[in-house]
Amino acid sequence: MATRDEEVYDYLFKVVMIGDSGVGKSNLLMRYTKGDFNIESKTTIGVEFATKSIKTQDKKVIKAQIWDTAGQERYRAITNAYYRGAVGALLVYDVTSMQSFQHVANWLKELKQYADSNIVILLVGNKTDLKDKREVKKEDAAQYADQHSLAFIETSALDCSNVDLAFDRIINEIYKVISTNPQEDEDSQYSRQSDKTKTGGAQGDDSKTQGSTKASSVKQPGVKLTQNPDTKQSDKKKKKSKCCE
Amino acid sequence: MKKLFNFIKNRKDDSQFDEEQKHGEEDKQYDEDSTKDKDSHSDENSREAKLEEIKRSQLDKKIKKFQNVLSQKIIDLDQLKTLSWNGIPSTNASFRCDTWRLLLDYQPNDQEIVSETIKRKREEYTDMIEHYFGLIGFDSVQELLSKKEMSQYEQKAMKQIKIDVYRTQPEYKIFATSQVQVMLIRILFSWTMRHPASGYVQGINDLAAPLILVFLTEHINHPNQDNIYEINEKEIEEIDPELLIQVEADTFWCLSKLVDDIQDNYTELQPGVHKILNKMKKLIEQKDAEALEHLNQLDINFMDFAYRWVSCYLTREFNTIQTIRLWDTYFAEDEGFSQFHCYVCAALFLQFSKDLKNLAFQEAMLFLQNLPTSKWNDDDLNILIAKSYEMKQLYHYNTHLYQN
Ligand SMILES: Nc1nc2c(ncn2[C@@H]2O[C@H](COP(=O)(O)OP(=O)(O)OP(=O)(O)O)[C@@H](O)[C@H]2O)c(=O)[nH]1
Ligand SMILES: [Mg+2]
Repeated sequence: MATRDEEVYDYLFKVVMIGDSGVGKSNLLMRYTKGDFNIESKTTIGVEFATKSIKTQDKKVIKAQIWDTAGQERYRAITNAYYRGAVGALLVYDVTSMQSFQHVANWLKELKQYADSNIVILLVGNKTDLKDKREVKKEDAAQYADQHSLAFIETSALDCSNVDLAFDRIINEIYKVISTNPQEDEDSQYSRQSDKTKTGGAQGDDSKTQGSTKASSVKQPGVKLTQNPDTKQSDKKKKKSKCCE
Repeated sequence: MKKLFNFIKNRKDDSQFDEEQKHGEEDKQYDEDSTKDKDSHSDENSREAKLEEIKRSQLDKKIKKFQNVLSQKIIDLDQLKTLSWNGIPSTNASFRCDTWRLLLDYQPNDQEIVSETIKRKREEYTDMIEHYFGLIGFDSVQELLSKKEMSQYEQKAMKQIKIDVYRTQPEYKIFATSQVQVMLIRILFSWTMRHPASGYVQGINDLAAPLILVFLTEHINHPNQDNIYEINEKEIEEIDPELLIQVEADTFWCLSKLVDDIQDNYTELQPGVHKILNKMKKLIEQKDAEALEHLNQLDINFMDFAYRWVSCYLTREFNTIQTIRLWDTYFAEDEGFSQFHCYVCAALFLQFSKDLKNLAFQEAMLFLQNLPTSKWNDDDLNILIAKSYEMKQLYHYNTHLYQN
C-alpha cells in the first residue's frame, strides 16, 4: 500500500507540476518524495498524486499535496483542471532542450487562464547533469524568470542536486505569503479544496514572487484524519535520501 | 466465491466444457478444505499434490482443445473465443500468437489462405517503413533517426515517440535493446502517420508492448517455461532479423486493429475515455452507492485515478503477464476493449471499495493510484473477470437500470 506521510500539520498546500513531456517532472517528484531516481519511470497518463510534509523555520508543519501532470499537449484539457485551487506550481523545462524552455511561455499562459492569478510559480531547469548537452543557459533562464516574476532554480533528478531545495523553496515561498497574511478563518475541515477555505491576499516582499498572492490553503492545527490511530505516528519521520544531502 | 465459479460455469453452456468446469469446482473445493484444517501437514501436502495434478490435467485438456480448434481447416472463431475467454495456455507460444491474430481479424481463419495473406500484409508493412525510413534494418535508434528527413509534424511526433519508447515496459530488459526500441519506434511512427486524426498519443505505446512481447515468444527457441515472457537480451540478438520484421509487422497491424475500435480514446478531448468513465461511475452507483458517496465527500473524481485504468487498459495496474491474460478475454469478447473493459474497471474499483471506506482523501488517492494488484494471481484475475461479466450480463442490455 501507499506510504503514509505525516498526518499532523498546520497547513496544507496544493502544488502542481507542469511542463513539456519528458522534462523530468515525475522523476523530480519521485526523487523528492521517495528519494530515488527511477530508471523504470513511465509516461504520466493523466495525473499522479504524491504528498510530503516539511517543517518551516518557525516549526510549522506544512503538508504539500503535489499533482504531477502529463506533459503531452493532448492531455492539456484534463490536466489544467488540476490547476484550480493550487497555491504553487513547479514549471519544469529541460536544460538540454531549448524547445522545452521556449514552451515555458505557453505554460505560463495556461496557468494564467486556469490557475488562481496569484499562484506562486517556481521555474525549474532540470537535467543539469547532462552538461555536454545543455542548450539553455542558466543566465538566460534566470533573466526570463526575473522578467516574469518567477522564482528560479536548476536541478537534476538524476544526480539529485537541488531537488529538495526546489520543493522546499516553493513551499516556503507560499508559506511566506500566507503567514504574513493570517487566515481569517480557521477552517478545520480536512479538505484539499481551496474553495472551501478562506483565503487572504498578501503582498509578497520577495522580488521573485512579487505581486499579491492569494494563497489558498487550509489552516489546520492538529490531527484531522480518521486513520487507525496505531499507524498514525509510526512513520512520522521519513528518512531523507542519502544522496540528497 | 463458489457462486462465482458456478457462474463462470454457466456462462458457456457448451457441453464440451462441462468436464473442465467440473474440475474447476473440485479445485475450489480443495482450496476451501485446505484452509479449514491446517493442522495436518502431510494431509495438506497430499492435497496440494492432488490439486496440482488436477490443474495439470485441466491444462492438458485445454491444450488439446486449442490444438484441435487451431488445426481446423476453417477455424471456428466462436469456439476459439469461448476457449480463450478463460485464458490461453502459455505452454505453446503459438496458441496465443495465432489466437490474438485471428481474433483481431488480422490472420484469416481459412487455413488455406493464411500464409499468403499474412505474407502480403508483412510485405505491405516493410514497404511502408521503407517509405518512412529508407533502408530496413535493425540499427541503432540514433541511426534510425538520422536517416530520415522529417517535416515539422513528423519531427514533433517522433520526438514524443522517442522519449516514450525509452519509458515503455522498463521492467522488461528487452525493451531497452536497440532491436526492440527501433521496432517500437517504427511501429508507433508508422501508426501515427496513418492516423492523422489523433496523431500519436501517449498510452498507445503501452498497448503495443504486450503485442510485441507475445509475438516475440514465437521465435524464442528455448523459452523459460515458468514465464515465457521472460526473454533476455541475448535471445533477441539470436532471432533472425527477418523474423523480427515479421513480429514488427504483426504488431503494427494488430495494434491498428485494436486501436480502430477505441479510436475516440485518442482524438481531441478523448471522448471515448470520458464515456467509459461516466458509465463506470453509473455502474458503481448501482453496485456500491456508499463507496461513490464516500468518493464524493472526499471530492475525488474518477478522473483522478481511473483515467489511467481506462486509457491504458490496465497495463499500469497489472503486471504484463496479468495484462496479457486479461487481454485474452478482451479479444474473445465482441467489444472487449470498447465495452467490456468498462465493466472490468468498475469491478476493479468495487473489489477495493471496502478498503476505501476508512480512508481520508490523501490515503484514498494514494491507494487508488497504486492498487495492490501486483500480488494478484490468476485466480484473483479470474474472479475479477467473472464479476465483470456478471455486471455486463445485468447491465449491458438494460441501460435503463443505471441511466436515470
Ligand atoms: N539525465 C537526466 N535524465 C533525466 C532527469 N530527469 C528525468 N530524466 C529522464 O528523462 C525522461 C523523462 O522523465 P520523466 O520524469 O518521465 O518526464 P515527465 O516530465 O514526467 O514526462 P511526462 O510524464 O511525459 O510529462 C526519463 O527517461 C528520465 O529518465 C535528470 O535530471 N537527468
Ligand atoms: Mg511524468
